[in-house]
Amino acid sequence: MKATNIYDQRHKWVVFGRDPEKPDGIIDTNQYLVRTDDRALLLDPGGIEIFSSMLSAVLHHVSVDQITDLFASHQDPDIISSLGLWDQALPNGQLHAPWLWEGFIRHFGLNNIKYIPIPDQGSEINLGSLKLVTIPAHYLHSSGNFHVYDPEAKILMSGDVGAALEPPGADMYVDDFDEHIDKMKMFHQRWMPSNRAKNDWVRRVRDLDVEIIAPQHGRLFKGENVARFLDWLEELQVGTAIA
Amino acid sequence: MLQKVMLTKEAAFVSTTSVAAELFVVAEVARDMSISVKNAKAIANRAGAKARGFSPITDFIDEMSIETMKLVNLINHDSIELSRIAINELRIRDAVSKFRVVSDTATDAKYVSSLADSIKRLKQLQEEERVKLFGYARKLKDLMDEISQKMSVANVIVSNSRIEAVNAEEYRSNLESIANDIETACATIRERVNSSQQRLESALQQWKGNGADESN
Repeated sequence: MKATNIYDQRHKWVVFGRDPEKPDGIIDTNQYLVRTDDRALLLDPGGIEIFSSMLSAVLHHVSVDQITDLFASHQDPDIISSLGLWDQALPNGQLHAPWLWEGFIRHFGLNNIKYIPIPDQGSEINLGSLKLVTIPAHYLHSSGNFHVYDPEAKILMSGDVGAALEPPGADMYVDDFDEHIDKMKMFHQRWMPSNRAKNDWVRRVRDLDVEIIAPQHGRLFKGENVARFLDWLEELQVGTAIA
Repeated sequence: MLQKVMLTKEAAFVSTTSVAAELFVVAEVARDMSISVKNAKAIANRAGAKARGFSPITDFIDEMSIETMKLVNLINHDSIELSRIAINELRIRDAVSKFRVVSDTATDAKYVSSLADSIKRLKQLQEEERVKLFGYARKLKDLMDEISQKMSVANVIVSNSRIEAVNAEEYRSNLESIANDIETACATIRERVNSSQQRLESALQQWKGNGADESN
């Protein structure tokens, strides 16, 4: 699994993805690691099928004991179906996830890790020396959905918002935004159900200082592509499965 | 004729849950047996002196069918518990196996050695689950043996009841018919218990095999 540093200052952000060992037919996913001096958080740690590749990749950056926190933006299997295995690996860990999905996510197997329910209005993930903010993203696409904003690194981990369906081995960053539109248009139109929810999200993200939008599938948006993405998304009509 | 259960491809936790399903039928048959015996008792009462020897036999079989139902309830509870433990053990084994793959392959990862403690802890947990697993399996085997023994005794009693039925004159055919029903019920129960014992044995062999694989 490919690992790319996307921020490396007082703390560190790493994105894992483009797994060449991923079984066929499984959507490629980006998993994120936020590491401070003594703690680490895994954001949307992925499905059960990529667990071994993911753990191997993570161990290049942190030890198992250092991983104290997991975050699940929502309940989908590609986000968190590996939970039962992380539960065996991190008996003292905690999982930050939408309150709405607690009873559902527990079906993936949660005997040791503590479930920290995120209230609808969002909350803070306190990693000691670093505080991250969970940003409500309900109905984008899941009815209980959060993104994670790091005000220091100016990174917004945006779950399925900004996702694109790409062939294997795609670059980590969007280079040509106009060319990238084709790869993400259908994804947003079909998976995102609500124009109102989408525009509310765009409005709130514009109030944040964001240098990188980091989605769970496809490429990351950096610099001026952040604003271009927000403009594009604002104009897009979603929920198109209803004729 | 006893049907051989094809077990080679059945996962151990499926086998143990199947025991509960299989023996659910036994409880129903035992219940039917109890009703047949109550009918036999009513006929024996009507027959009076002609079927004097039949009453103690029906009492005995009635009591035995009630005990069989109780045993089945116990087996049902224990086999579900056994299945739960088997699934938990399987999940831990899966985690150990995945951690070992990572530990063996990610040798260049800076923090790969931090997995050793997790593997050790999980192996200990797995061993604890395996102890529980074999304990429950032994208990289930004993309970099923107990039902089988009861059915063997019931067969002897049914033979005696046929002899008693001969003396019951006009009630003979009714009593013989009930004896046949009880005999059929005993055969069904033996068949189901035998099939469940095979499933349990197959599960035990798998667990023993898993243990042997891991010690290599």
